[in-house]
Amino acid sequence: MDFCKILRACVLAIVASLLVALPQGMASAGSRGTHTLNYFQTSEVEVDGRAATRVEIGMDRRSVDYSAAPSAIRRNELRVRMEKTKRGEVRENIQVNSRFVKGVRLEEQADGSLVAHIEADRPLKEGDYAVTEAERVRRKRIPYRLVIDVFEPQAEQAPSTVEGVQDHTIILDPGHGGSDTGAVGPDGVTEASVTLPVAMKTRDILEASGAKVVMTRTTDVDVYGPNASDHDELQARVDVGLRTPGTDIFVSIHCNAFSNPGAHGMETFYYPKTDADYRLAALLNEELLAAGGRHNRGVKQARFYVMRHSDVPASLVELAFITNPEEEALLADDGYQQKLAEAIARGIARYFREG
Amino acid sequence: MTGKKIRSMLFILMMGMMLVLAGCNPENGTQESSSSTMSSSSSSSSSTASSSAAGTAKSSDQAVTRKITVYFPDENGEKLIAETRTIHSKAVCEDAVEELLKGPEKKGSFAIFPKKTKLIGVTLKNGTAKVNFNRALKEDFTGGSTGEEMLVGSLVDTLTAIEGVKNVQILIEGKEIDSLSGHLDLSTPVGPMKHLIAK
Repeated sequence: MDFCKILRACVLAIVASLLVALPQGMASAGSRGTHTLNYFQTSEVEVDGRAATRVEIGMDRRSVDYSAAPSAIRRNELRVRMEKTKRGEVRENIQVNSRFVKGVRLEEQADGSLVAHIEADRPLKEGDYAVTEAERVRRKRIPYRLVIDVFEPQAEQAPSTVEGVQDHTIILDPGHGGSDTGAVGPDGVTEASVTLPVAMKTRDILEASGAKVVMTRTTDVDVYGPNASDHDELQARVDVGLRTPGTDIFVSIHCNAFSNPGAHGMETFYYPKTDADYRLAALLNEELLAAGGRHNRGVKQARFYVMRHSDVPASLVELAFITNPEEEALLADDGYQQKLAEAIARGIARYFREG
Repeated sequence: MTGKKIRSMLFILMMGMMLVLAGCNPENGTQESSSSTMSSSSSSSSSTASSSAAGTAKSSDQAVTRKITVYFPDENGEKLIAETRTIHSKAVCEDAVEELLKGPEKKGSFAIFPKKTKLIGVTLKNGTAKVNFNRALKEDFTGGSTGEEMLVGSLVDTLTAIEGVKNVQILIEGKEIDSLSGHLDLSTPVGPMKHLIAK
């Protein structure tokens, strides 16, 4: 893939004085392991077809520990924290009058870290920025850098839609919730915090496509009540389907867990009440495989309560393993959740179209 | 308060007796007083025991050495892998479950029962093995669909391989449960899950 293509090669030298010396010229001021800034540059670039303002902060040593997140307090501000870093001779306040970045403030912290406050043109969401490392380019005398890209706003897209679900009634059941977090990943992501947004995104697509969608829950709550018995809680979810007139199908959304963190993959389940149960699980499996790209554990039969006790074709999907570090990170990612939601909606649409 | 205590003590005593008396033993040995065969905690009087046992207790003088097959999940939680264990008593079901709790010996198999799980006892009636565990089984269980499927599958497939066991019901401290972690319906006895066994 052709990654960062610099559109306008003209690098906007912001303030000449900012271009402080060269890596070799800078004596490492701090103790062993301390990074000292010695380079600052901004430019307008295009990354994967999306315009961005690029801020490059160079330093005398490579491999700085860093983290980046939008500020909780100041709107429009992205905070990039560099451990064991000194500002050196780079200016503290830098005006940057570029497309998506208005200014940068470099603040040394008492604990020896340095925070770059990047003032953007708008509040930034996940996916609106990226921070990467760039190696030193000896020939051009450019040092090792942190590269901060602030992208143009994502165009508000019309919600995606699917064909063939018009006037059908679909029950979506985001697994667990409330007093029951479901399984928890090594990084602390809970199953309930993934199943709800995936189900909500699925609902949005199906509703935009003309379906009637009823959710067993739309917030982080128990469906029956806190700390209820498994029977009461699971039956309460089944009851949503039983009580909704004209219910066509029931789809329960879960993340998997296992004692070995290496276990991974996606699978869909059915209880063989009718042939339609299998067909629904198989179509969901096909679409989730195509969109999610995880190992396919298959379409499996199981005595799961919500499938067994629903009076309509039902499937329980296990998106991936929250106990697997790699899959946990994917499951928590908004973009990946959207992909999975679209896959579930497509699977449901095919169920009605091909039925 | 005290009434509750007495009741709970009685309950524990009864559970102990069940462990002793109702241990399933498809190979009928000579029927005898249970006291000679019990190995564990239970110290209930044999007179009360034999009266309530009503002929379900089967035991023999000598511990029998036999081979049993126990199943453990593979590393990806997709299949159950068989291991052979040699046991030395007549309480085959109990011994089989204890082997499951010990965990696998083969590389590539994984333990799935929570570490603090303890077997209280097994009773066998009309082909249904009721397997009674302590609370840790449910409280410490962290598996999802796969974990639940593998745990129940390993238990059911191990026990139904023993002559006379058709299906299995899990009890927690004597009570039937609806589910382990909210996926499988365990409110009624579960039959063999042979599709999980690795070929």
